[in-house]
Amino acid sequence: MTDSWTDRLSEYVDGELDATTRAALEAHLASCASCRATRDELQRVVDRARGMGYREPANDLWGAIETSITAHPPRAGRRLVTVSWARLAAAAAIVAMLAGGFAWTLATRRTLLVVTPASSRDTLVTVLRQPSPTGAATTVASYRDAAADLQRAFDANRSTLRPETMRVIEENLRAIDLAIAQTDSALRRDPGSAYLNEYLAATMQRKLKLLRRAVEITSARS
Amino acid sequence: MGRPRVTVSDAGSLERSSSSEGEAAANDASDVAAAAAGDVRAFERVYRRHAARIHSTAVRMLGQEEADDATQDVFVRAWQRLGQFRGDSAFGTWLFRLAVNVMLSRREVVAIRHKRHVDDAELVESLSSADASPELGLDFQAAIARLPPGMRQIFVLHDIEGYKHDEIAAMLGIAQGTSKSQLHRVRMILRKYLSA
Amino acid sequence: MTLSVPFGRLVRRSRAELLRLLVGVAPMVACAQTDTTIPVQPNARIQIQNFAGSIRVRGWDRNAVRIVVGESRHDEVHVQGRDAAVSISTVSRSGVPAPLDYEITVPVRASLDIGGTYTEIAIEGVRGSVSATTVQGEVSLHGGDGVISLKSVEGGVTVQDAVGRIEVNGVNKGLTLRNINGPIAAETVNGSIVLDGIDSDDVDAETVNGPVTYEGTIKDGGRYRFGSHNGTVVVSIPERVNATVAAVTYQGTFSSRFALPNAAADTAHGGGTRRRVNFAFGNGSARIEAESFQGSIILARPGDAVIRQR
Repeated sequence: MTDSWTDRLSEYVDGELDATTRAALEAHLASCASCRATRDELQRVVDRARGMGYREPANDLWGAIETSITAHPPRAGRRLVTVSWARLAAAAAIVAMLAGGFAWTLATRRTLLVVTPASSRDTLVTVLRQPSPTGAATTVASYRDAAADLQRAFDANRSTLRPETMRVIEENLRAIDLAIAQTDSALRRDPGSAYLNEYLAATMQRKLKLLRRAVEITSARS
Repeated sequence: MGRPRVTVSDAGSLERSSSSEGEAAANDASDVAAAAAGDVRAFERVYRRHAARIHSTAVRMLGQEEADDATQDVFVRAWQRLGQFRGDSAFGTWLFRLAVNVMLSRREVVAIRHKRHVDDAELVESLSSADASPELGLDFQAAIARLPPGMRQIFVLHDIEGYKHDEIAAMLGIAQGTSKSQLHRVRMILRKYLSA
Repeated sequence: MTLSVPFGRLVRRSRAELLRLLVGVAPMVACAQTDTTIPVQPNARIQIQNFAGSIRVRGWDRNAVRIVVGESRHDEVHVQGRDAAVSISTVSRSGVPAPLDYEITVPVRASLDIGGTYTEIAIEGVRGSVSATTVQGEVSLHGGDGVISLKSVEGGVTVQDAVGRIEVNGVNKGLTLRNINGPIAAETVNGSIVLDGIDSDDVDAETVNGPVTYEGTIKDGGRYRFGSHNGTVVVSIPERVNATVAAVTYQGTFSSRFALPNAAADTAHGGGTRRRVNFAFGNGSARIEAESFQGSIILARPGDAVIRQR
């Protein structure tokens, strides 16, 4: 037997009903054995589905895959480079963190965000309530490490790009480096400037973003 | 998607896989980075780690006949796109999304080739009728395989793989309401095949 | 509908497998020029990948995708899908794909996902979401409605008559955004950013080498941020706005082409010529941040010639 409540039972089982509707449905369930039975059956279908596992393919498919991917010889001059995944992830986190607009300062008493390179893709940002010079140094060091790693990854695969593309990317990396250097020297003369601190962070973020884009381009296949 | 997965490594027996999702993710991290730089052996390790899930999903979404080919397509495409993986999700998640895209576009190619003879409504009718019972040998998995493709995909993505309706709607190009109502219909059909 | 099986894969399989595959597959159309049309839903997702050459996309009012690609003996065009999603790509038989020119016509409301490397991308007459990414090549979009993301490294990016959430990224050239309705994030390194005819409550435009000019609405509660390292930042302030302005320049100058409300708080600070100017128009509801490290900041009224000069 079906009634109008039957159609909502899946949503009920999935917890998608708003509080009012759910309460009304539960009131109905209390007095409708047929709906209760249907609900139980639906729950069993869901449980059965959740328990369905995976099976290795009967045939070994790797051979054909390997043939396909190695069909095109690597572009001339390309070397195999293992880039520290942790560093790449750290760079991503720094970019995300700086994009969030958090101000970090080199020498003030505000809350600092310290990015610690991690061995997994999990959270990389720890918020410190008590800032310390070491904390600040770690942040800058993390940026430098991330930038260095990304630069290495870019350098390793640069020959995959046309020379003019490489040149364009490098010119722009140097333009950002110049901006960073100018901001940095201004900061030495005026270390307490909130504007300069924020601006330095933002400019470092530009560098990392451009490096990431460059690495992405050199890694992509056609 | 957060729930521990069971991998069958030889035909018939069900063994609980020893590595947790966390371990797998850590192993993926270094292998994926190496593979993105061109290391084929590293990519093989990635393949070994994820083949079961991709292939089983291909079987469920496309059928046994297409699954091998689809699985190979997925990994070749993944190799080509490794540079685009940004690490803002687990690699397995990214790979699975790529696999779903590959499978969804393949489904259209296969359907045209084989020229579906059976109307979707007929299929649903035959599965829902009182005569279709476990005694006739149709078990739960077989019943899933007999569902019309659209409904089957929704069921696989929602109930087996744990995607939400808004994600499924985006992937399949349908409305969320459609995803919910189709899922409900599938479950109402499949409840008859639970005991098999 | 054209079906393509990757040529390379055919060759590498064994004879027996090859036969089995061919039996089940529609004949492969070896194209000199591809011209094929596929039925799709009005809001289909169209994905196009072309390593080198160009991709031109236009909208039409048919529920179909038409694909015209120039000749190539070297490479293949793969087309997969129909109805809800279509994927079009260049696949090279060996080595690097040669340049190909794609002309694609899509339903007006289709959503587009376009990528290339040495590829020029031009899209017009569409009203759906657009994502277009290239490395060497310009990106230009006339139209668009939804989530819009345009990227190039070497080429300039232009978007006009678009509605929605707009994100534009360049590196080596400038960005031009005209007649846009919706939130905007525009970023480049070596180029100018021209924002003209903007109707938005959230604008973020930054560059390193080059000026930034803005002419558009300043809406109550809106947020507007314009920054350059060594370029001039020109912001047009309509009459009767409610906005708080924070203008900072480290080594440049600040000026206004019209009379500022009351005595603007003007702080020269530290060892440099840093200028930080804060003041409010009306009830100060919107927030405008204009920053240039070495360049100047100029406020002007809409239509002022100084805006056109940049």
